[in-house]
Amino acid sequence: MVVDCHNPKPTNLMRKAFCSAGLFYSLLVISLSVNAQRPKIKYGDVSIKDFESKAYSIDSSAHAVVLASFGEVEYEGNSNGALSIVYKKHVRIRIMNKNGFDAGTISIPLYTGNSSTTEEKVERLEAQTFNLVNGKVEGMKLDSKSIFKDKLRKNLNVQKFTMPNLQEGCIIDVKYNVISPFPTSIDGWEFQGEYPTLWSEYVVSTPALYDFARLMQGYQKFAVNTVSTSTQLFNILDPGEASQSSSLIRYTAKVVTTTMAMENVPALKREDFTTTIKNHIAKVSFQVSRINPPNGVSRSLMNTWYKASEDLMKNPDFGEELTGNLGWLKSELKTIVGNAASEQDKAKAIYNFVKKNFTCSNHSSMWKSSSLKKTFQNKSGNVADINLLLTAMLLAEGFDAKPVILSTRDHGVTYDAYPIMERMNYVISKLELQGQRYLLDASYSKLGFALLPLECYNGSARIIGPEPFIIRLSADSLHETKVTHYIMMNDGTGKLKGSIASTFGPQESYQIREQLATSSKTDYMDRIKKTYPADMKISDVAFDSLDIYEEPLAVKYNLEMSFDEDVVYINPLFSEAQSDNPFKAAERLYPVEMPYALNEVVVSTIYVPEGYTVDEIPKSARVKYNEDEGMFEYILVKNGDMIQVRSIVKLNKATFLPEDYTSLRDFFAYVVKRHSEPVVLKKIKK
Amino acid sequence: MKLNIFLMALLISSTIEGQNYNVALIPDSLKMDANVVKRFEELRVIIRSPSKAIVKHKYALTILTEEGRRNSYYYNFYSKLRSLSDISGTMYDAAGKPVKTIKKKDISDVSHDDDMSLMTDSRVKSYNFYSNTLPYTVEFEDEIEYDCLFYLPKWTPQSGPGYAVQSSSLIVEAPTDYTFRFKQILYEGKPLITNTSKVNNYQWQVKNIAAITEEPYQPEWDEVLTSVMLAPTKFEYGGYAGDMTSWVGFGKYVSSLMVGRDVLPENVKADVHRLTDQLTNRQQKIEALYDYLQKNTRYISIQLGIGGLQPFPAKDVAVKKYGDCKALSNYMVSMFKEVGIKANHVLINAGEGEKGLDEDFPASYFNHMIMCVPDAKDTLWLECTDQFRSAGFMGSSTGNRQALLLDDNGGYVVSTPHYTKTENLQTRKVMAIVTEDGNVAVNINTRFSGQQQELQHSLMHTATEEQRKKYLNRVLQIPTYKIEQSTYTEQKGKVPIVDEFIKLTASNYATSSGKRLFVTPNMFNQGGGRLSVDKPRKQAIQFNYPYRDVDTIVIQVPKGYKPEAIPKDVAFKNKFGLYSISFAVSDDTINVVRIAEGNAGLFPPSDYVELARFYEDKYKADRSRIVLVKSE
Repeated sequence: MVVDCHNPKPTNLMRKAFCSAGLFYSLLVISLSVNAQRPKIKYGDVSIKDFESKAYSIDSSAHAVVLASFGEVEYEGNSNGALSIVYKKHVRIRIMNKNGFDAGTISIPLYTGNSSTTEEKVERLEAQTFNLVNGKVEGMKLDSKSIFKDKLRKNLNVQKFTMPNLQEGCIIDVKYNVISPFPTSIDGWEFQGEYPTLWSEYVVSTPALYDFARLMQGYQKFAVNTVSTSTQLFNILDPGEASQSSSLIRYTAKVVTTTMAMENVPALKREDFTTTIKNHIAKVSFQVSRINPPNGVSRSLMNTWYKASEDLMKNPDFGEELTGNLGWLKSELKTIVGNAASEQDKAKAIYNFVKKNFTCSNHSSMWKSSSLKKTFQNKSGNVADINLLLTAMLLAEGFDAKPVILSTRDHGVTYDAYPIMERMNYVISKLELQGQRYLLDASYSKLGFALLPLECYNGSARIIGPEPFIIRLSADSLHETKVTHYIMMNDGTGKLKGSIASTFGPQESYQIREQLATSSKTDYMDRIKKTYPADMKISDVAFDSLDIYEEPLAVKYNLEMSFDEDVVYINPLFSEAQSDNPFKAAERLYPVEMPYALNEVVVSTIYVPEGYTVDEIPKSARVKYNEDEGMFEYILVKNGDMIQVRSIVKLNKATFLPEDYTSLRDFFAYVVKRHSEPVVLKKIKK
Repeated sequence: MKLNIFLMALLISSTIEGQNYNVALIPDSLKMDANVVKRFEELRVIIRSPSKAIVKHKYALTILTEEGRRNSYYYNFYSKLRSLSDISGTMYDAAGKPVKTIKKKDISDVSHDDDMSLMTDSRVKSYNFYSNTLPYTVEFEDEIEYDCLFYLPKWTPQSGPGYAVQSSSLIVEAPTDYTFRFKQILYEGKPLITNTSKVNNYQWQVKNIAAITEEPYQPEWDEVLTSVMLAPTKFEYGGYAGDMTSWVGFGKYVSSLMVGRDVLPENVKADVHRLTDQLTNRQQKIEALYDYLQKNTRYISIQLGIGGLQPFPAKDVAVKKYGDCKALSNYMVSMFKEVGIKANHVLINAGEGEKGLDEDFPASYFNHMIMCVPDAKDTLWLECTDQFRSAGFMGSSTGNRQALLLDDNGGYVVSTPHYTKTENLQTRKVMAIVTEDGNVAVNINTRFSGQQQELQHSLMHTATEEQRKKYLNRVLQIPTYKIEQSTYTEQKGKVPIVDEFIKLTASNYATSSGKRLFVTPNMFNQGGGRLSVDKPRKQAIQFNYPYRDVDTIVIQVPKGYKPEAIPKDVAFKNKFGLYSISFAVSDDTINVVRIAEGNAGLFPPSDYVELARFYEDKYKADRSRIVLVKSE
């Protein structure tokens, strides 16, 4: 069985790119072995030949090149009655110049539980730096006193060291094992990193005790991708209960070995308009799906969304309290809901209560940090605490509310097919009321009712309940319209006096409200003023609906300009002209992921000032972008002593393929060009 | 029993203060421009001996605005030489009623992973109170035990902009037989001194300081805010004893930490002689060895205990080929010693715009070590942690300030080089060809020198090709363009020079509308600063370094266009600098010359209006447009 791509719509990009998600070993044996040359590299074995290349064809300007990176995952019996994972890592890096010296500093993260038997440990660490000195290879070993151990934070230690005797052109060779007491979580492997990599290989051998799903992402092809099976004996020492003596368990199991390798992987590039670089790294990750005890009943650890959803509602760190007695909220709710007239007003009252009174301390968590009662007392919690509390309060008031989980944009993509909780990092609440669906997030105090922050629009979200359906939340579905009106009147004395009003879309309204909370209104006005030349006077800046979060925010101000030159050039869009192209880079590797589909409308009415006449106005234009994906309309009409202008810049979606980048950049270049064209006025000669 | 007395003392002190955190008790004058009001603070420094001090800190902050919220975050560092006791804290509502206290298990304790260091023993404890209901008050109390007096805390009641202070005090207790030193900055009056037979007690106090708003080009906060610095006389640190009363004593102590650490292994000695023995000129020897250092070492910071002050021995650097600033300076000085060139370590406070030191108050101002080869006329300064820098160039990070030169007899205050506006020079020549549809092809040759070459120097040496491309593709002030080529060459020297060549094409650079063509000739050096004059200026104006820019622009326009409007030439000069731009159109060519200079210095607040006008005039002139009309 090959499960489909995580992207529901196969696009050009996806067809070009390598993309497979979830290959269950038990069901599938694939074999792919291109004519790839696996480098024969043995630790410590560096010869003069290895120094021959002055530059590598994969990237001649690279500061360092990973010659080979090997990772092996094996299981072994431990003395705690269980299996441990042994990671065997070996990396060899050629450092080309001084700027690559950072590659010589290595840090190994080590996860720890709460006791010494649940600590990851480094074993058999060996490292050497090789230099070519007078035609001979000289190695220098890492001094064990130069290895530092640091308790980075709770549950995370690190071992780090920097290689000695680094010189331009040197080769470092680093090898170590990490013993992990967490047999159901296999570390993922990134084939791609900061430096170009000639060969990257991950060999994962898992005993029949566990099944894992394999999740792939990125655009690089495998050089090797094979699966084989063997049989292995595991010796497990069971320490027994306090009074018993220990015993040796001999466990023979079938072992599935997956070998994956990539050749000539370019360094990772960072680009603007990317939700997160994490989505683009060539990477494999593993998710435990079943546990098959030798003498017991095989049990699924990763079921359907139905089962996962049921489990989540029983989980004390997620939904358990929602199904329990919510009576403790009743008296509070009475005061909160008060005399609310309609059901919708009631729901809003509850939403506003949570939003106003609770501070979100962490916007990335799908698990509660404490009980709902405690959150209620503390008036703070993470996003799961807060939105599950909101859900509980809605439920206690008799509403049809359910939690919804998702992964935010910077947290990366999710796989719709798999209920993998590690992929999720956010909880919101869904309210069904009189046939209408509302998605609520009470973790940001300036969000309006039924408005979600941009970061939630990352593809899809999942309802947790008896019917765990998907809710599509794509940036493409988010349309933001900003409308600006200019009216510039001839005051009869050679001046133009006018008023400007901009009304923002919900997301931009929210962002401006946030800005105004942490900087002053004066700062905001200063910024507006600076978009106009100093001889245009701005006054009476005012906001509409600044504190009514459900309504679009509007900003208004007055503008005054005077003239005395013989020829005057006025930009008919004033400061609303698109003066800069948002797409700076000339080329593009990844899809363009903008936060929303934009629609910017400017309508301007300019009366000709006293004593002047119109000499030239820019030509009107109307262009489409990629058929129906966007448009630019720029209409200018001279009507007696009045010039009427309308500009619409519109994109109907937010995500574009890399091959559309050039046309997108050209589209904005065209807008910038047309928007820069002035109206030319001439003084009437007396 | 001792403990009980101690506890009682604490209780008494808190009752005396009678802390009532009701927000209504804040005078309106303190709420003006304030995000935070410090309601109460007591910083108590108890010096026990030359190697022991206890610092008790208790303070309460009322958070008035969202922007002030980050102040309800507590954090403090600790290390082997500085232990931090448990932290206590309480949050109060607007009425001053306690609503929440810190629970020990909720305090985060993480490594002070500063990205700069491979390893430090420094760790951070932190805690954050959250409340959505403004205003609220947080109160924190902690205690630090110093195993050294080398660094003593500084009392700065007001910590920055938007920060008002209702009441804050510094108390220092020292045994009668121990003298500590202090320096008051912008503090009126003298400390209140009370003595008992065993201890001398000094007290400083401020009340009702209104908040200050941050203003552009203001001096560093250190120079604007009231503070009291403390420093020891005799002290012990890491088993070494010293006396900080004079710079000589300070220097002696630091030098004592380096004794015997300058031994070079034989192979390095051989390298040193091989590189320099044939050279007769001292300058050549210095450059040869500095080049050797840059080629063979790199900067890695490891700060553990006394290792924060004491360098690794030179022989370790020789083997591992890395070290921190102290270790690399020490290694460099050791190599110079080997060839008979006398060189010295220099302690310095590095960082752009940072002040050096107060010559009349010896204390630990320093975060960095460099070195110099002294000479009556021509002292040479060397930064040993940078593998690309020109010998002798200090630049923005360490230039133009006072520092402490060390030798066996002690420490001496010296000044590092400063750079004049003719040294901080940028000369640019732009040659552009504009087509009728507004596209342009441009060649730009720019010579950067002194502090103006620092950015280009790093683009040249430390950026990857991709980073350089990315940077160049976003930094220029025209809307849609593509860099076709960029090359850099360097001339090393005490005032280094980088030459940059850029070739680019841009679509829609000039706006064409029917018969007219609009060209903004100053494409690449448009001054961006505009200053708001809505509010009266309160603080002085400071510019850290002088510069001079000269731009010569030649633009070829399509045939058949005649100028309709040419901007007026502009030239003005004042205390902040000078500016001129001239425009000439002849045949099919536009010629523009732009000269801009900025002066370094400190100017009174009353000069602000003039500065704003200067910037506004530059802003406008830099964006001047030439309008060409197609001849009929």
